[in-house]
Amino acid sequence: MEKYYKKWFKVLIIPALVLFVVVILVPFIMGLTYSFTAWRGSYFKGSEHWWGALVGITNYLKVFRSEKFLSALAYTLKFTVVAVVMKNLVSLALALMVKNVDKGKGLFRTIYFFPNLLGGLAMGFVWSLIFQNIFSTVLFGGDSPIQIPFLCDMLQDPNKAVFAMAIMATWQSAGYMLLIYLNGLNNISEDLYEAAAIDGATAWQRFRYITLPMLMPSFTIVFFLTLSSSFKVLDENLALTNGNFGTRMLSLQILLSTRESTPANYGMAQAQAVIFFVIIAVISIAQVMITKRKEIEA
Amino acid sequence: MKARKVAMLLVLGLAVIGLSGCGQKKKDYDVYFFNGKSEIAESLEDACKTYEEETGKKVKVFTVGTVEGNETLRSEIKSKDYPTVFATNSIGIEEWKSAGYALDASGLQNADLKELYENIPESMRLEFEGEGNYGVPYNIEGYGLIGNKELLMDILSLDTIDQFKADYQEAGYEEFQAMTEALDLYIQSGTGGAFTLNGNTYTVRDGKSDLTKDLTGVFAIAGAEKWTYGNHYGNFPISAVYGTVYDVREADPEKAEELRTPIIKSLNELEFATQFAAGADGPVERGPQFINSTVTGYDQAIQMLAERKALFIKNGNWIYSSVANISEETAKNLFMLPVKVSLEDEDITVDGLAADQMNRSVPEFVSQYYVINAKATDEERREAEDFVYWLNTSEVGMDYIINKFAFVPFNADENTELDNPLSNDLIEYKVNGNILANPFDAAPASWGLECYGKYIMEDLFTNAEKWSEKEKEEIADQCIAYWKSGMEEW
Repeated sequence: MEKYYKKWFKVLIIPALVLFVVVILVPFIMGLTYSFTAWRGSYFKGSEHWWGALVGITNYLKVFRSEKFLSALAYTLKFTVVAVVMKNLVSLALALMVKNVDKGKGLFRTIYFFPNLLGGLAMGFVWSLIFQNIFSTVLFGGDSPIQIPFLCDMLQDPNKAVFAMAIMATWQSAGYMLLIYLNGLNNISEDLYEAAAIDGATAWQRFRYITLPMLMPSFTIVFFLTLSSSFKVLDENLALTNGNFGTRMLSLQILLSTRESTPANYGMAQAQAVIFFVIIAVISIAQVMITKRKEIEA
Repeated sequence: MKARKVAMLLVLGLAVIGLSGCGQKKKDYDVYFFNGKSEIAESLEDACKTYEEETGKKVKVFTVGTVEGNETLRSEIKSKDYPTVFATNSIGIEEWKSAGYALDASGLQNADLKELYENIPESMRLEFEGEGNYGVPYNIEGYGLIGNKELLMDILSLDTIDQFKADYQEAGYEEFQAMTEALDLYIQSGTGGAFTLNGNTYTVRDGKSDLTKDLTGVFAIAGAEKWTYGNHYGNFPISAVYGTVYDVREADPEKAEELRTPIIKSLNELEFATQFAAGADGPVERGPQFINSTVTGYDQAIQMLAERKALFIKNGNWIYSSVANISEETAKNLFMLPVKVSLEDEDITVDGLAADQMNRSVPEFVSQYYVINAKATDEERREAEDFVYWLNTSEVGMDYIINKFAFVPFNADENTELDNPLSNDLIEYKVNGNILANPFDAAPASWGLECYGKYIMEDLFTNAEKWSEKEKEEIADQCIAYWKSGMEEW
């Protein structure tokens, strides 16, 4: 089999390569180029061709002076921190629970994984009903015996909304992350726990000194996935708050910015997309490098 | 080795073919119309079929809703199968003119269509920087305070609504406030009373009737949808300073300073109106629930009007069919009144416009135009021109526009009769010269949504207390700053 792959490797990668070049690489290079021009979507301002409409780094300067972009960037960072922590904690906790279940393990896994299969935008509107009505008027507000103001009208305050969106994002992705953690947990040899138990290690010590270090490879993957998906979040933002109350994040900002000038300033929107790409690339690479180093230590 | 090379070439070839699409193919239509109004999509298809039966020319129609419309048109017009006639508005024309797609009347081949273009009233022409004549209006739309006359006549014990309508038009803002308060007292407690409009007294009856027993508030307000007040309500303060779309475009950005008082007064008006909002099971008070999309969404607001829970809604003639879907009875009783503003003559800086004129007028505007694609071939343009001419002048075409699209044709006069009573009212206001333009259209992109409407929703509608003067002034400052920076050349 290995010989087969070795022999046919070049042929087999052609479809993927062609797709990558046509769908990602070419548009990326075009986008990068257009971010330096006065591109208006359907034409280049003052010229027939892009090279006649070059404006240097004007678009980038405008982006960095744009209050909307900067506040979207800050808010995205805030959301990312909250969402990454929440997603990791919840999915790890669920994985530990599912691992210790004897009967119906498959059922729990399926239930936890299920939200992952549902469309983000559609679920966003369902969650918007939950936050606006169930949380605010039935469970934690209105005449309910449990009064938790923090969980009421969560979509009408930027600080509460971070958590509202993170709750939905966690609900949606925890099942997927759970599978990765579960796989990691199953790979830890029972011998280690037994040996530790004999030496008198407490449950916490076993978790801290065996489970955590041995789970580092899973951490790397889950961190990487949750970090970039939180940074790129759009559905939750669009459906829950639509950027109101200062909750606009970067993806939504890029999406909306062509609608916020007449004619649409695609050059500037493209510049934002390039900056967005660079930020995600830097974070992802740095994060992979750091966790990789941790893995070796473990 | 050889087999591998052959396979490689094969896969590569397949991938290239797959990605390059179907290649050359003869177009199987004569006219490709990119329509910008989703409400008429179905009837438009029918109109095109009729056209094909009459002339043998096939028209392909593609319809997208308004928000994504521009984005789709941008890619569609650059494709090989580009539209030969498309829809845009008085703001979008800047893009299509600059990109070279908008054909001016002077370039038309069909002499009859050219004449039609030239006969479009000055105020409705599609121009760019005061020049050119780029399209034929789809229709006229307008908005105001829409009421249910059946309920009003019942509450006020009237036989017809005509006198009320006439008096309301002449009434000032204080009279409007007194009327609202009297109606609210009746709705909340069934208590009668009286108010005057234009000096004439109207008596509110005592006790609820079958018709009025479901009322929960005077106005249906879609608090959760900021475009409903951000966009259209924003036109009133703007109309005090700018007469038309083109006035906004040509004015010095500093002129926006004059918007301060009109904006603050418009916020006061909203503060007043939001105290009388109808809800599903009782009045809705300002606060978090006032902007909850499951309580005060657009559909809910329409429903409250249709189900006789509210007496009035600020909206446009286009709501007729949505209301009719819920209640035919309510739909046929709708009538349109002007939105009352609290502006004084000295707040209005538009030449020749006075407060009483504003108070008896409704904004009317052309939402879309048919534009011929200047980059299409001579033959394609000729076909497209013939179709636009047919749709807008032939007996069959006009029948579609008036009866199937339920449009107010741009050249409507007092003889035009429509099913939609709101459209008939619009024609009446137009014939009497009681119309405002829609300079809001030329406001900086997203000014209504991301500035004026946003502050109203986030800071004011959620606040049940009295709105502070300072807050209102700050909002006006923000709106003016946003306006000025949006007007800068970039």
